[in-house]
Amino acid sequence: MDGYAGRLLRVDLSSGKTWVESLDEARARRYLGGRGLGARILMDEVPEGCDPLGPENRLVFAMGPLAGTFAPGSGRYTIVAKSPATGGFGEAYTGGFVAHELKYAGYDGIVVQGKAPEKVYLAVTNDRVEIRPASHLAGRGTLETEEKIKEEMGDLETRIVSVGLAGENAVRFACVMNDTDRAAGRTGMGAVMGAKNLKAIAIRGTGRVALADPKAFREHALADLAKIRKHPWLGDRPGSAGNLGTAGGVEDLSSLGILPTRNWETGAWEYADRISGTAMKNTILIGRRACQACPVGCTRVVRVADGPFGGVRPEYGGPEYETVAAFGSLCQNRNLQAIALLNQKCNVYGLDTISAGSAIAFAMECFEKGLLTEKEIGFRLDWGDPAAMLRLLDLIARREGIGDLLADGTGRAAAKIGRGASELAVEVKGLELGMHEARGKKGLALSYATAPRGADHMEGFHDPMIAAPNAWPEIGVVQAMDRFTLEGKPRVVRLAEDYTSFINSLPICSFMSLTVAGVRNTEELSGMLAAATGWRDITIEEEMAIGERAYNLARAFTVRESGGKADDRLPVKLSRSLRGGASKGQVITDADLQAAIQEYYRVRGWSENGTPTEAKLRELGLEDVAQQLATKGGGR
Amino acid sequence: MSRMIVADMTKCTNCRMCEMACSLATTGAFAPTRSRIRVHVFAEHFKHVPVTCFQCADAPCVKVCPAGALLQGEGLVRFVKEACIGCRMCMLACPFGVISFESEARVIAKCDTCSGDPECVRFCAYGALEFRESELAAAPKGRDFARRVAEAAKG
Amino acid sequence: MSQRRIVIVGNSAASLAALESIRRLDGKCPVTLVSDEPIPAYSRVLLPYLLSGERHDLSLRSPDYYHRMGARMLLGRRAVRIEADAVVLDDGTTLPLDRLLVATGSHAAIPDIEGISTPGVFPLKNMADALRIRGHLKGARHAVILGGGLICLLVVRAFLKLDLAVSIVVSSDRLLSRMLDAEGSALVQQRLAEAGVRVLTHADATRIVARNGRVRSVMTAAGDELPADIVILAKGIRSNIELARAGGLATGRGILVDPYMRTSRPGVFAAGDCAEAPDMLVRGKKTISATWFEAVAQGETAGANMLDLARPSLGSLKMNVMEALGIAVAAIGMTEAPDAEARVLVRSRDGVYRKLVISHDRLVGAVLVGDVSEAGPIATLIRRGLRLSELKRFDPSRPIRYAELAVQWGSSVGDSATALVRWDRPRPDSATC
Repeated sequence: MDGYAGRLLRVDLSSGKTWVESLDEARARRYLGGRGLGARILMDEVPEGCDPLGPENRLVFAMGPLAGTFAPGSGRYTIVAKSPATGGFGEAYTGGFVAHELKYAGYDGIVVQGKAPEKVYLAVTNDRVEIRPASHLAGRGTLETEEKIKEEMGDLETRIVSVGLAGENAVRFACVMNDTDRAAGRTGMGAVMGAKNLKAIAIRGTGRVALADPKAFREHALADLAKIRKHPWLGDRPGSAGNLGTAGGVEDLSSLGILPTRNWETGAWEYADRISGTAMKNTILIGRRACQACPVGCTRVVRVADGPFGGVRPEYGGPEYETVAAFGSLCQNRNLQAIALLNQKCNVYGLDTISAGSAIAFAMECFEKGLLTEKEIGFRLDWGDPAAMLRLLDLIARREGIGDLLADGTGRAAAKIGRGASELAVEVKGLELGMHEARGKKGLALSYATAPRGADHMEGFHDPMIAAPNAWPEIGVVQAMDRFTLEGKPRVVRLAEDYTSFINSLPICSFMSLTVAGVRNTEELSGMLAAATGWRDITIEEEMAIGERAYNLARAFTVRESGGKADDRLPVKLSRSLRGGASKGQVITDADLQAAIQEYYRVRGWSENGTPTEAKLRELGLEDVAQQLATKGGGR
Repeated sequence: MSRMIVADMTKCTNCRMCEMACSLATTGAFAPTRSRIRVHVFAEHFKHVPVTCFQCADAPCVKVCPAGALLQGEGLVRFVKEACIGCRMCMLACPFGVISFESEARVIAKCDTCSGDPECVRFCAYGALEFRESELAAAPKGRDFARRVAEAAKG
Repeated sequence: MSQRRIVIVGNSAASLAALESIRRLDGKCPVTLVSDEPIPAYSRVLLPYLLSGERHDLSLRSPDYYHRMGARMLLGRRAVRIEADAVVLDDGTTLPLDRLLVATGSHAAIPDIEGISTPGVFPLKNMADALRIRGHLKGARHAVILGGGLICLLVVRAFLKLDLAVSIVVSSDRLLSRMLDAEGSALVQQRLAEAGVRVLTHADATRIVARNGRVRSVMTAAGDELPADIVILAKGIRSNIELARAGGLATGRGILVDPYMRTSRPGVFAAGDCAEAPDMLVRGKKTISATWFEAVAQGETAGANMLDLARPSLGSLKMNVMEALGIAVAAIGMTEAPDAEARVLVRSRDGVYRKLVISHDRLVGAVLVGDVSEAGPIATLIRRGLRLSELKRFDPSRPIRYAELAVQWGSSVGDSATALVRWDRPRPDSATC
């Protein structure tokens, strides 16, 4: 099979056995890889109701046909497992170099099951796979772990996936790190990996990736590159992602009134310019990096040598938008150096910055309202106090004191605190919201409410993208729409989600896709896919079907495991009007939301309960899933 | 006038497109370990240094080759694959270590600038690689590179 | 300068390097090369490939080379006497000259063994040897090689390609004893064993047995009898110094030269296998390198100095690289610790072996087996003699790459880039070693 290695590495940590499972072309074409393949494996192998932190859960690392090539943005892989944060479909995406390396080693992915009796790491050198002791790595941070493992592997070119203290301590929003500063952040995949006693995966691949039609592939790649380099945000412009990082847009978001501030109380912040990409460039930035095969180079590299927030090293990269907002405006913290240190700590501990920042902001508001006291916390937790934030982060990673409470996520923490704390928790299904104010982007709100993994800001689309007409004729979206309305959004949300789901099944970096960055490259992308695999007849319709299939699989898993309609909601705060900024007064009422959700279910071909119907599943060739859901009772 | 592939390590982002483009062009598949341009990473200094053959004007590899497989051309050190016996004396002679060995074909491999239209340069989105006339026309090109690396490392 | 008449006796690596060195500096001075072989310059390194049939044309340069270089080539003539301003050939020709380079090379050492003159016993040093061997190979099934050095390994490769059964008789405890230490050599020996080559160590051939006027077997001191249809002598080389001796030049085992490749006689230079030159790493010591690298380096140095450019050599550095049945092997400088204070760092893993020898804060030697990709930068490190303690962070566990050297040392590597591509720039600190 061209493009693919045609092999999945299977690992059973309970028995210590590893083996290779073949991936046949029929399956590859239906699910592609990434999310699609991951969801299929979860649905097939994870027993209903299993403990996400137990041995039965599967931890899937999945790439696809473009990993290992120079398709722009192809240096990506997906991690899929049942989430300890949401209890449903968990997934996280990351860049770096692991995807390519694993492909060169001869695999399209790794599926881990079981639990090792002691801490171990997996050493993969092409065909040779070993499970090695890792007790000596317990508690070690990412860089330290990588250096030690590289020494043991005897090869500095080894690429490493690992968890830190947070994952080992089963913090529900622990992430999986790779290549020192890249994070597969959301849904607590790090806790799953830590619970399996899997400290790290070390990969060295010296093989090759062959294509069906290298010449055509190269032509399409060059055309794709040309479009990307001309793009206003992805190309080399003063305000571009490459030059200012993703945090470059902080001031703009604030002026649009959609920068989450003060635990989602308001959407504009007077100190936005202290934490933005421009501020970074003028102070702590020393350069930029890129993931493998990426022409954008949005990774920041910062250094803070001395001072109260000193010790920030270039190996750990630098903060991107979500981090800057979550530890900045959300907590009212103006100190960019502190944000850089918080970011580094999250990389060392293996913590999702969005959820970590959200947890801290939640705790700050609880403190302000007397729901958490100084005695309980151990110190004052005033808004915008960076030293307190750092202390609290340490406690969370270590699960000590108040950190143990917050380590379970804002939803569970709020339930334990009681006394109305749940109204201060801003999460859906147990996943904290990405730093995008949905009251100013209502299509996004719909995705937040219904996405299988919880409040996912990367699932659907961001409304400003279709403010002008003819945004995405390739997938049938031509009408201009206002960001402040839910009217007509369900149809568009569904189309954007299906296309994004296709992107996430490849997987490639969302920045290189139509619905996220608006690069008009669907032809080039399809061209590369066809040239890699030999599937010359692939159309955008089939790509949308693949995306829809993967989306429905993920949804079915969530419905099976944790619920449907009942969990499709928005945090209470979003039903209150936005306090300040250009989007002031915006609100999403429960009535409007429910109407939009019902419309969305109809558009998706789901029941009133938000369960994919048998007809829809049959249409997507997922009859077996229909059977699984039927025996369960069709969703709660 | 002789041109060479000039690497600017202050612009290199470590994306490795050059390695993939080279290996695709020279081996027909993506295989960075067989690329003739390699990026060396110094994470603690935050430096990424692409290194490839400098097409030396007075190449030591040409001087030592006992099989006549390396010839001194105008701005190019030409490799004649059919003459190579894989003795690797050139690898020992090259101070820059830019010659590699092909374990299957049992001959050496070295950048040939893709006949004057280098793929690595084409695929670098950051302008870190240029194919241009060297300002030190006849002088050893390695010296300029080393000086620039040293200057960049101080920063 | 243009009228300086130069004669070079010899037509191999050192001679050609000298000629090219001269022509880079002076395009017009008359240069004559004299070779006692009847053919234009060919590569001795390629001789085993002639045996195996993999190569037929061993020319080192193109047919019009001498013409392009403006050099007069006298083939099949032997220089017999050095006079005040001339050299005399065997046919009586007198070549007047201002500068003479003696690059007469070496011959194979012939051990004193009973039956050594039996037909079927050959050294492999030159084209004539190779053609004789090739003639004798027809119908041969068993080959015995005396000696376990570089030549031996190259011949083993060629003979295995011809499906011969090969045995090696080595008097030392291991193969490639001059190049590799015990651990490195073991990796090579294992590979040979896998290929079915029989290796006898601590062994000496005592008798070559003939039958019907041809070699039939080789007897060892221990009493083994090895069947042999052909025997190859690979027991080292001896410098060709008769011409020099006859001319009154100071000789040891080779023609003694100073860092400028000058012999004891004014105007007369020597380079290559015939020369005994100052060692780069051991002060006061002179060595015969007998490597292709040194021949090229010395020839280049001699050429420049014959034009009075006063470019001293950095000294002889023993460098070799080869492949032993698919395993790459490289040895540079001192392969063992020179004294008790020296540091030896070994990393051996998965059939890849790397040894670094550090003495007086400098890298003085290296052995690489299985992966020789660091060989060039390591050789540079040794040749430049840079102090390891001055590095910001010399970490011997990291691969030694040029980019690392440049980044760590700053500009000193850059300044000496000229020296990196030439063999004769002075070391930064020649006082100690």
